[in-house]
Amino acid sequence: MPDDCLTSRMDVVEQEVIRRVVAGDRDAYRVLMERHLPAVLRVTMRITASEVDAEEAAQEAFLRAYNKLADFKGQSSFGTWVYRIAMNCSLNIVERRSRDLGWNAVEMDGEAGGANQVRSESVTPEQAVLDGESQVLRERAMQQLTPMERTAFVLRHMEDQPMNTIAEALGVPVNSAKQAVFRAVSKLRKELRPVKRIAMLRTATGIAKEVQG
Amino acid sequence: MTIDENELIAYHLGELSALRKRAVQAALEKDATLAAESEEIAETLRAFSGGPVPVVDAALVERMWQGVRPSLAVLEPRKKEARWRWMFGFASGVAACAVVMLLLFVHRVPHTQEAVVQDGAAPAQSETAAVQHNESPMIQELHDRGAAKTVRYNGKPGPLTMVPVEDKGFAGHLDAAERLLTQVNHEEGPLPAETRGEVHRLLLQNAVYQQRAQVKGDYATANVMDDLGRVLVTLDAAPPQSAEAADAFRLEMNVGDVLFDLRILHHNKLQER
Repeated sequence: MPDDCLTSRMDVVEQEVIRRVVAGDRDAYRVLMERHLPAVLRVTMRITASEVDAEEAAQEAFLRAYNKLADFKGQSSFGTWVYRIAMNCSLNIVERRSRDLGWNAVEMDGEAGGANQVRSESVTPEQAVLDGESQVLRERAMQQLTPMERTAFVLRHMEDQPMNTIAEALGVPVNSAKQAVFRAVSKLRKELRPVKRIAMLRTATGIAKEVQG
Repeated sequence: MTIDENELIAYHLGELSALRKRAVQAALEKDATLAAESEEIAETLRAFSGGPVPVVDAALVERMWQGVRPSLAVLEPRKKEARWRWMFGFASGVAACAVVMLLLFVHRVPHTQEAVVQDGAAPAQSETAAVQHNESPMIQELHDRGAAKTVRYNGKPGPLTMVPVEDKGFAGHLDAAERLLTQVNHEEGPLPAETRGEVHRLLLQNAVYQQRAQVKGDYATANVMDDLGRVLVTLDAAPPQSAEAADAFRLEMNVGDVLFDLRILHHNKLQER
């Protein structure tokens, strides 16, 4: 019940902010952006796998939401609405990028993981190396997926979105979205067999250290 | 039961029905190879669980806001005039339809009453009433023509009047005269002897009714009776002759106009009763 009260209070605050923005107060929009940026940036980051593209997609999503704010009827919360817009923006960027032949090379040369991504501070240098290698392998595996497979997989498995939402975002039937997820998992499974070996090595390293200690 | 990779993936993603899920669980307990494959899929999914989450700090928010802010145009509240205009148009349309329906209803009322009166009419007049009932479009036409000629006789109102016709004998006279003129108008050749007798009888009656209407100040009726009287006098006085001469005579009398006036008077009478 307290959660419901908090949610409804937030909704009231958001409605008031939206009313002010629609009335011409542009700076009030920053409140909405601050509140929903983490979720939006997370999904754009997961779909695009690039900080630059994720920020671009997030900005585009907030800009589109602003321009359509007068038509926003409030059937869903603003957060859900802008999240879905962000999904579409990310997908557009991924599709645009997939036509660029040089994209994979640039990403593979870069550092795995961005400066703004969370990392555990308690990892040892060896673990960091293993984590880094594991991350590179995961990224490489993800790059074997088509934009649709990647987006469908990210939204279903990482973002826990229902299949009909994913199908709507991709503009395909639900069954096609489901098949895209299945194909993605199957490809990742094959690509990730080396990661499994790394994990085993990591486990073995940890055991050896414990024995030495 | 065969369980393929897709079904195992669906199992781990929670996309199976409860029944199918139990079936897969049962198969996994029995088949070690399948269980190993299932574990590999689960491990793959675990490897991608969560993943890196971007840290949204104040600097990032500021950067994002500065990236968006210049592109934000000042929004204006959606004007409601268009909506009101649309509603006003709709309401006007509904009102216009209501007026049209009302007018149609008002036009229909006299005919309905006429039908009721005709159903209860005297047996002597039932034949004419039945004809009129079947000829309602014709009555409407008469109405229209009569309405266009409301001033016909020296600036006085024409025969189409709402003044009640009280005399039942007069109504019978009108009925008989109308039938006679209809017969005269449609027959060819000289009039039969019995018709000539009816003409003479009506001529005598008509003089009385014409006089009575004039005394009562009902000049419209008196004028119609006068016209009818002239036709009846001509018919009564005309000697038996050849068919061609009789037809020329009918044209000269202009029986149609008098018949028209009579029908209107008769119609008024039925309506008032």
